[in-house]
Amino acid sequence: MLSFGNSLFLFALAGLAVPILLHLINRELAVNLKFPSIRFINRSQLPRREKRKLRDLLLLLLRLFLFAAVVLAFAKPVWIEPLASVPEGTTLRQTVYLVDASSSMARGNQWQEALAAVRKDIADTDSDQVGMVVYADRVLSQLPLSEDSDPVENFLQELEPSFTAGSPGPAIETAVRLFRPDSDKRLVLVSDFQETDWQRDLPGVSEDVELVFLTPRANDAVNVGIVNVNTVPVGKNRARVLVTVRNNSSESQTVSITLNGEFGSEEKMVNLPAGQLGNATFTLDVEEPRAMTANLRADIYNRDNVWHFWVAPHPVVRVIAFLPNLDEPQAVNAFYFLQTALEVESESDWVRFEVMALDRGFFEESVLVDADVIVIPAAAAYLKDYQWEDLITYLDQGRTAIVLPGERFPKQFRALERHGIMNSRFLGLAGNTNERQTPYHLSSINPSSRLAQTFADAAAKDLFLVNVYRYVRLQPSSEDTILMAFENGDPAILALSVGQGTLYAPTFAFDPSWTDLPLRNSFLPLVRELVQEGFDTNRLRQQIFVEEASQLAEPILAPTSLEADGKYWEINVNPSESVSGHVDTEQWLPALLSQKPLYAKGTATTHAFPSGSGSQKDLWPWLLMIALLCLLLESLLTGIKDTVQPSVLQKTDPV
Amino acid sequence: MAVAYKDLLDPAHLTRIENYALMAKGAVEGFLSGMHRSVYHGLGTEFLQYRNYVPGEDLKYVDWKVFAKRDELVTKVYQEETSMNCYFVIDASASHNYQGERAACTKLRYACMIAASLAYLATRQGDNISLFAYQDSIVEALEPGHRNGQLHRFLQALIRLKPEGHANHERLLQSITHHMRSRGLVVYLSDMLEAEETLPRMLQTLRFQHCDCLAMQVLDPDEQDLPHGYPVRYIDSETGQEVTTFADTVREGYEKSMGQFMEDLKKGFRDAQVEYTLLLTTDNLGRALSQYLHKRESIT
Repeated sequence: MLSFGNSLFLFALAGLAVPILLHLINRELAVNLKFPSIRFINRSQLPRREKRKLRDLLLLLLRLFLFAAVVLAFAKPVWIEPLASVPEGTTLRQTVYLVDASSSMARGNQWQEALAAVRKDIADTDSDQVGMVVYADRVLSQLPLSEDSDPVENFLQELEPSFTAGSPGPAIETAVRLFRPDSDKRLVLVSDFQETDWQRDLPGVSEDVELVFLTPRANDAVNVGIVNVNTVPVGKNRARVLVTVRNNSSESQTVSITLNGEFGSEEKMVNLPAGQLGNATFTLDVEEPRAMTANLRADIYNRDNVWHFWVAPHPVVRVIAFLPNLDEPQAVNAFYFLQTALEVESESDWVRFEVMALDRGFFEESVLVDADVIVIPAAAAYLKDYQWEDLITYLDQGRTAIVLPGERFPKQFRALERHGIMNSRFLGLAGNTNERQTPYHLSSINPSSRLAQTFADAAAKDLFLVNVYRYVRLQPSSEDTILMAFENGDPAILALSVGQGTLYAPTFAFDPSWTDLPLRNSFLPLVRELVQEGFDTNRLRQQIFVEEASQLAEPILAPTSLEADGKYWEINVNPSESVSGHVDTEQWLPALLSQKPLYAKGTATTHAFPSGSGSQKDLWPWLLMIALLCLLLESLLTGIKDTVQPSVLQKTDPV
Repeated sequence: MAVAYKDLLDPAHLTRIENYALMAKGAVEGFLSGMHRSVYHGLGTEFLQYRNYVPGEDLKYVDWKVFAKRDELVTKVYQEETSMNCYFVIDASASHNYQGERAACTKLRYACMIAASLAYLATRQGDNISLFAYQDSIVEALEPGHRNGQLHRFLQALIRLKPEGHANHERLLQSITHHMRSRGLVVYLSDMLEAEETLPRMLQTLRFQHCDCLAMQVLDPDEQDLPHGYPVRYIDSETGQEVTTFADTVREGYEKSMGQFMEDLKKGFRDAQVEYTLLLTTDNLGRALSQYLHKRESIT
């Protein structure tokens, strides 16, 4: 039996009339020609091209075939083999089981109950054919509709729940497509109907599909699961591990959280009210990265009782300073102050900086790649256009740069404007000597910035006493963020977004002739926070769930921790699978599934079937081959035609 | 590579020369140097130049002093001093914008080339030259004169001409009649389409004012034989009317009608005692120049 997946395309066959009509009225087209006088020119009938009639007819036929083949291919024709076992006059009864193999199905003995329910349903229901679709975050496997029961049993025996969250939408579409259009359809949904899975976008199902919901017996036993583990460096080579757990049961629980790793294990008790989150904190000595697990004692759902994570000291922050001209005192001074402020170490600091100076010739993309932060002290005016482009490329990748003004500040700020980095307008210099009696003072910090936390309340007192003798005046644009401003509202430090990165542009040099800031206590925290403002100290740690592990080179199917691509991967089961809430399968879910039919009523018989299902064959590849053949012949014939008689229609109007 | 004599009069060659002055000089000098014996020297008393003696020439023009000095026979050429006016009347209507595949230029360009050459020749002969170009009305008018710059003004006026609009012959006649007060020669250049009755009558009127007329019909070869071998929608340049036809089927009738039109035109001019010349845009300029010289001589 022939069926079409997109029968609406068949209306396009009406287009076949166009070449036929063209053929019937085929005459040479007249060329427009302005002529001095048409007084003696009489009108005449235009000639038909009788000589090429046979060739034209062949061309017409080929073009009709080509058009028809393309249209039919788009209509997705399917040839369905008739079934010998179905007696004439009766309807084929087909049942497809949609089995949820998401991680939550491993809770207690739900999985065994689900498989038993499927077996029982197969035995109780008198279906002519049975098929099966198993899904988790995607369709894991499917069994085509078959009259034989052995493959179904073998298929069931090989199934087990995955470690991923469930996404039933695509699986429902796949299951519906297994049905024959003319059959009596029955779709059995076998799942725990966890609300986190079944509240996602679901496709509608045609009304002629009978929906049956098989739900394993609800189990309200105690379940406490780990939701997240976070690590924070505290001091040199020490890390704090924060384990967050959730009590998914209806009674408060006291649970034991254990950290296991190479160092041994450490345990802490946490009291959790019903349905609430709780934390346990561990402090560890860390000299090099190591994989660890946080564990809970066994309960009804064990997959959320283990959390894989990495503990690692934070990497050294590499700061590269561009120093093209050592004769420029402001550049050298600024570099000296920056280097001193960043490289000073104390036991309480958990970030270490490594400052390196770059010569003029080394400012290139290959060197910049290694830098976490680039500082250009009083040297931006020396950058060539291509070096600005390199800097923009560097910033685009989410990196940070700090550009400090120097004696040639106009050139620097005009370059920032010219390369589209800064939208504020350069106005000139405010103040010009360090003998100025009334220096400028900083007065405000952007409250959403990291600097605002560092210089909160009394901590800002010293910063606001900083004397600035001269600074570059800018007319701020709404597109640029002002991190710090002077009393008169002029920007003191701008944060300029470039792609995913940020360029910080103070409007004064870190030089005693411009300001006394480098000599004050505020300088060290200001510089260190500015460098860290756009720097992600946790960038090497990657937390993903099992269903997201497809981005790795090797497929990961179970929770684990591993080192790959220079990053530390923590792969765990999605905590959403621990949620014990279920959707209503009596009213809400059937209503939701029938709201948006996959296929409009009456056209359900036209859907296409996946290849390899056994009883159907897609015909569109053959039609495309026919179309290609027609196209080839048509090109050949057209070439011959043009060789035989060059078209006079190519003649151009001589006027 | 040396330019052959025939090239100097060939429209395909001349049309490449954008400068009318240069073009006219080349054509006229080429034309004159190709003649065995030139009798068209001036008849005045003002010495113009020497040229080599040609056997058969009147010996009274030989300069014997030069012969004595150089043992070489040369004749004196004098600047002619006449007050004859040469009026050039050019039809610059839109129908003159046509250029068939065989032609090297449009009809207007060809007419201008002829006018420029004749004007150069006339100036050389000492005649006054004047120009009237018209479409619906007169678009260029130049009073007769032969002083310095007259030829330049004449050629500049030709350059400014653009083929547009419909030719209004009657209005032209009314406009130029009062300008022609003295005896002269009218050189009329037009395709003369659809005017086989008007034009002979018009030029006859000028003859009544003691002006000799030289009617030069400029046509493109396409207008004679309608050579297009494919369906064409012909659009009348002046009226915009259209007719779609296949030339092969109507060519015979067209040639017949066109032949009749030409005959009527010739007869009309003959009756009006106006000398008529048909020039195709593929013809060289020699015919036009010789026609002028013959006419000029007969007037003299």
